[in-house]
Amino acid sequence: MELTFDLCFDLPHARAKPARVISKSLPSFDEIVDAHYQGLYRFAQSMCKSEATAQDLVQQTFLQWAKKGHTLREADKVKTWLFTTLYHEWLGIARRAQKYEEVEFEPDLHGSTHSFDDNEPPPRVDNATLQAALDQLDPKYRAPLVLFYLKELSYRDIAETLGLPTGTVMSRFSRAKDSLMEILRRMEESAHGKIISAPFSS
Amino acid sequence: MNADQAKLELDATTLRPQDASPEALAMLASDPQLASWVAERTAFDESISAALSPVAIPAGLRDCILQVSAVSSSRSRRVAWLKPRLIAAAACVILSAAVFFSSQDKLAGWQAEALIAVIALEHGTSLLDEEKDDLEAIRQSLLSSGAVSPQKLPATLAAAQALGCKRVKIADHAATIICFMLDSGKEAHIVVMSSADFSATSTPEFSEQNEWNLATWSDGQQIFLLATTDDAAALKKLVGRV
Repeated sequence: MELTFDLCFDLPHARAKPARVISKSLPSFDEIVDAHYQGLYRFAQSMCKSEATAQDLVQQTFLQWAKKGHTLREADKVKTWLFTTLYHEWLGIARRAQKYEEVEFEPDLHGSTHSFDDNEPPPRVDNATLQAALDQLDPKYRAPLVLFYLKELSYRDIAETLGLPTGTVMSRFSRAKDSLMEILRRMEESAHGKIISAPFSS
Repeated sequence: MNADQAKLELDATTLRPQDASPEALAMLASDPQLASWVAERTAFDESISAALSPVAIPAGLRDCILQVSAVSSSRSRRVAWLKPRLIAAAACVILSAAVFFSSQDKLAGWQAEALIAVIALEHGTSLLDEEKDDLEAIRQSLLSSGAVSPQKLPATLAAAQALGCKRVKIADHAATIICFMLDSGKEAHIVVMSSADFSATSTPEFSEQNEWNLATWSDGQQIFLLATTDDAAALKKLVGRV
């Protein structure tokens, strides 16, 4: 349906449709911090599991931005740049701490790519339980999954952040979700249903 | 796009459906079984996302980051977003800016990084590796771990109450920060690095950066940056220049 407006003056004929004006002016450093530091901290905290290290990672990320942000030519890539930088900083720390090893995905250990079993109720989860479950995921599955659940980035931006093809990231989401659900179920079973806060779904 | 591809894409966009392609959304609309699967998947994802979000953000983190920004050089940031044609068109402005920045950037790169690390410690957003009130014990601990340990410190500073130390990297070089509590109730932090890494004069050079008073010097073997929010006179007293 096309909307028409009754204007009290005539528009010039053949007037070009004005292009949508998108501000390309760059946010200030403070504005960038305000917009992204919380999401970055949550990502860092989920990856390194240490409050102090997560804070160091976020500060280091903004320090890198202060030094190198000028190399970025696209203002709409700031968020992806920051998450990418933080991820690389974390990789460096994890490798130095020898906490990160390349582990190939094993479907037997990490669940399948099938849909959920309708006969099983979904697991219940709170933050502590979730973090414990995420810890059991291989980092190469945990990183995309945490970014996915933070909802800060599109799957394309997550792929760019992690330096992976888009298709790989999508399949990692799928497998990681299945694995996470399986882990949560196992944890719930082992706790005999004692996880009582934050029911899985209403 | 086939059904499997659509499923994969829809699974990747349960929490951001705006990112799904029209093709995938069309398949979702025309396939009730797929829609049911996506709805189930979305419910799971939303519950996980909700469980992830309560992670508390440390209260001082934002302020510390902004302190970092105040200390670090703003030159590259400001030039960053200027388009080349604007730079060319405003050459005289840039020239003025260069003069301005050169007068503002009193701190060498390593000094700025050192101060950032100090600020993080002072604000508690970076934690001490060891909390000890015995300077000699701190030195020995640093030596035994192969970290940079100060060979000699100004007597007044060495007599102050030590709080602990942290091993850090400054401009990719190993460094150590030792923190002290002063009689004024303010802290002083000394950053120690090998003089092979950077240079400094043997006579302490004093400077001021926002609320921080700084002294930098070298004893030939090591270089030091002493930073405190106490006043300039207190700093000079600490390095024995009163």
